[in-house]
Amino acid sequence: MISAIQRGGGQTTGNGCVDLLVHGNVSGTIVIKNNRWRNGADKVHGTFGCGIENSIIVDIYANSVADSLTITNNLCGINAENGPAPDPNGVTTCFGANMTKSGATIDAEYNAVFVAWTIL
Amino acid sequence: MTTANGTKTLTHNYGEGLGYRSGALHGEFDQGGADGSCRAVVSQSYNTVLQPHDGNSGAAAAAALLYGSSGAVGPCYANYTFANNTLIVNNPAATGIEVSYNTYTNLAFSNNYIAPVYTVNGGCIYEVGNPSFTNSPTFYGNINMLTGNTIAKFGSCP
Repeated sequence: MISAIQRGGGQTTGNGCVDLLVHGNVSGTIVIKNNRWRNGADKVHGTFGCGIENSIIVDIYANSVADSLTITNNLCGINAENGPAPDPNGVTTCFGANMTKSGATIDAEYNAVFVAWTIL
Repeated sequence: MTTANGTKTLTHNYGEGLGYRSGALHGEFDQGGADGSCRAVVSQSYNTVLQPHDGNSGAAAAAALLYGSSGAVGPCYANYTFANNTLIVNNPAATGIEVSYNTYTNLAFSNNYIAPVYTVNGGCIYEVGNPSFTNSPTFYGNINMLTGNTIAKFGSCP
């Protein structure tokens, strides 16, 4: 069994984006709980950066052996205030997972997701 | 989030999306799918979604606030339940609950509350992309909070 528990934000993967990535042949149980994320607009690059466009803050990659994923009591905020309009083809989400093992379970409870965009 | 043919349970979550426009930043929970084995079991219950209007965005593309869909043709479900969810859709683009593309057995909607404030024709449960059903979807106790009408069948949204 492995528990992937990330607290207090996660790793920075570039352009100011805060992500937790789980990938590879992770087995057993994956638990994501009690986290607080906030990704904001990327003013330096003049775009939303990875905090908004194409951002999946918790991303469980396609995984052949994990039995279950539990996402509990997380708060995810994506705030694009004072930025340009989002790319209509962009992907912005907080939790992404691809559980490919037969019978794998996903449980998401008591999470809060806030996404915001205000025009310049 | 996708599980090939297992169980997915989304419950007691809160989503809020401000300033939605054309494909991003709306507060729905799941567009994840399943495989074609028709064994996946999905439940979305006791979730709350608030889609407020920011006062500047104007009309935008339609945005469902709960999805029973993978966004692609192919996935098949043994059971899919929407129960006791609350949607506050104070945005001209927001709609309601969307079922699209996939194949469903035992699709059930019960006691969902949709408040379509400041929408044109929102507050509905509707189909997109010709989903198929191996038995008749059931509706019980779903209410449009603006009109007070019961939502007892699929309807149309903008």
